[in-house]
Amino acid sequence: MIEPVCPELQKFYDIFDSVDQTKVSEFKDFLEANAVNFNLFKEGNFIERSFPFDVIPRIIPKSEFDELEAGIIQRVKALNAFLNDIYNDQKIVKDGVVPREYVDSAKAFLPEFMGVNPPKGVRTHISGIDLVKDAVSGKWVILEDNLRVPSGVSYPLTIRRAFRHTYPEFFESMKISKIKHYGDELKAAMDYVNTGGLNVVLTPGRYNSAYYEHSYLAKITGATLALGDDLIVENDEVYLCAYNGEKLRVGAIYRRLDDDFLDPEAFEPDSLIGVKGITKAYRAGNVAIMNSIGNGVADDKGIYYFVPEMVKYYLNEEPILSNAPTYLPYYEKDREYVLANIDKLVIKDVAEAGGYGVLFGNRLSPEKRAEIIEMILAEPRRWIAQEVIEFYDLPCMMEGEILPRKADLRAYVIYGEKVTVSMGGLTRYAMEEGNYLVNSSQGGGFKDTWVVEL
Amino acid sequence: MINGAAISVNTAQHLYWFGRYVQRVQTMLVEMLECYDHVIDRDFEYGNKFFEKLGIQAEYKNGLDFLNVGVYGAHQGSIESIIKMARENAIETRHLLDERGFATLNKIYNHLSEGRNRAAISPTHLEEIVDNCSLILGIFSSELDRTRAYQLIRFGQQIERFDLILRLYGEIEMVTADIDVVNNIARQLNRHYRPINVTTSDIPKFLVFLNGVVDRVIHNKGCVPGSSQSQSS
Repeated sequence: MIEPVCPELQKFYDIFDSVDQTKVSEFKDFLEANAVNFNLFKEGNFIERSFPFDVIPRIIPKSEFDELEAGIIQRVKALNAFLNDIYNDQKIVKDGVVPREYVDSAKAFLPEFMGVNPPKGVRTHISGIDLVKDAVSGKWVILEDNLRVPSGVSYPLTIRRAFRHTYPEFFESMKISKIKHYGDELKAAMDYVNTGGLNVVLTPGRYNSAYYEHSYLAKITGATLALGDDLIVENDEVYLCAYNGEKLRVGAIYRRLDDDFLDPEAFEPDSLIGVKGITKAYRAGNVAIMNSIGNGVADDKGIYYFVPEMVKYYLNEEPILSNAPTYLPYYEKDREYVLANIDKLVIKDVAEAGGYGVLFGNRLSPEKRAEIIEMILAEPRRWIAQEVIEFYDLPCMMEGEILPRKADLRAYVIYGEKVTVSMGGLTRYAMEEGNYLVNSSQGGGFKDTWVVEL
Repeated sequence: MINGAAISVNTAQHLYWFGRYVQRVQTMLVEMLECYDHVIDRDFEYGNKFFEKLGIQAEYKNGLDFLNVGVYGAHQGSIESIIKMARENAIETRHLLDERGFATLNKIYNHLSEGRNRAAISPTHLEEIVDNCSLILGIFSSELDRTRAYQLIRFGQQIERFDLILRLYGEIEMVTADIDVVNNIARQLNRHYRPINVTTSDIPKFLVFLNGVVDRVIHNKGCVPGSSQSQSS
């Protein structure tokens, strides 16, 4: 079902009708000329791919976004508190709010980092919160929290500038919230936790799917872009090897690689993209790592179930935003429901991400269904089940026609001295009609997101 | 701290090679257009002599075919492959490059890739690429807040210029006259750099010597012991 046209979107259409629509092709030219890519690996081949873009932005009325913003900030604060707790006293476990089993068996939980506290107590420096708008209730629903290395923010930031150049009419006639401060806010967050030294964006390199974003973020924050072998650790301090042979101390690292690859001494020994000994510097409090090591325990799909409870537990507030109705086969009652209703549910493997490991019960063959049931019974902790949310389609211009496509929203949150939500975000849409998987890694496209006040 | 002032070894090398490759494209195209003029009605072999100087083995049927071989030929020195390498280095360093400069280079690359299987390339089109290379290199000189990145690009340009002068014309005097330009850039880039003088007239020896100059500016063997500095961001 397509989202009803709000007055703000109507205003967009009214202006769009009056502008030169042939200029829409300029966006594609711009993205290609600037190699604004989200690259893919397919069958072992590296494919440079422009991120497909749709000119019709997702428009969110300011009053609606204000509520969304409050809910997202609340959620991220609770998640940060959860991480601080879980790597220290684990009060939430002791108080029975989150089962120990769920923490201990979370793949990304790193007990060896118990008692290691990051500068200023910030762990979720940059979060990407995925939401959809439920077509039945008309409410926003949280689908996922991304607290490790959420990507995508560079695309709306890049395209917004192109939009302002190509169609200034919209910005002259509509009150569209600005997002260009993102770079300053990210820099301020880096400075806030910096232990004395350079700010660095650590990238796995040019063949990473989001390399465009890594270089973009280095550019807008003025941070130094570095590969793993550009950094060395001596006496538990991290240094950048500058081209002239000098060692420059590093105080904050916005790492764009997963924990597993961050330090071959502490994690995956074969990692060629990490920095040997970096975790020692982190443990010693000599460098801020953004996002913190071990955050994956909080965005585990099983832990997601408990986030509304975390909001109540840590903040003593009622959650402003809801989760999608979720069942944990770990609990007997939920397991019975899941097994009896598997045809109506979405089954997710908690170990997977990026749209992988998502199974729609109604599309499973009898053999596959039996196989999944067996797997759920064997490893209940590994699975969650959710009611299928009929989230809104958005209008997308495809080959000259406006067609409905499923779309979500990734909101970006920066946690520095204060917690801020970027007044826009990345709207991702599926390329095929009826497809619920909008992830970039599944071939989806993107839209800009405009927060508009009439 | 100036934006991008702390430049890693990897990034510095990419900036340097970016400067070299863009300069190489520009100079090679200018030389190829000059050759083309000879090949069509003065000296058909002129193009072969040009290729020989660069160690390229290639054959052509006429003036336009000469250009086509120079741009798309299956050899390391083809313009297409040099543009590709320039672009690779630009992708690695785009956080320090001017966006218009990057986009201009990328457009040249896209255009050449798309045109590979189309009709023969035209001299006018190649002249446009020469102009665009000037534009790319010129844009960076106006970037006031990225001084070191610009100097590394300029450093690469100058070294490439010397390299091509020696390979194409064999005139070491043209290089010695300009050696202070390299010394000045190198000193700005690295305060430990000691200026060099040209004391040899042996071209292969001098080319090796030039590579040594690069190693003295961009340290690719790790950090200097005891050279740590604490800098606030």
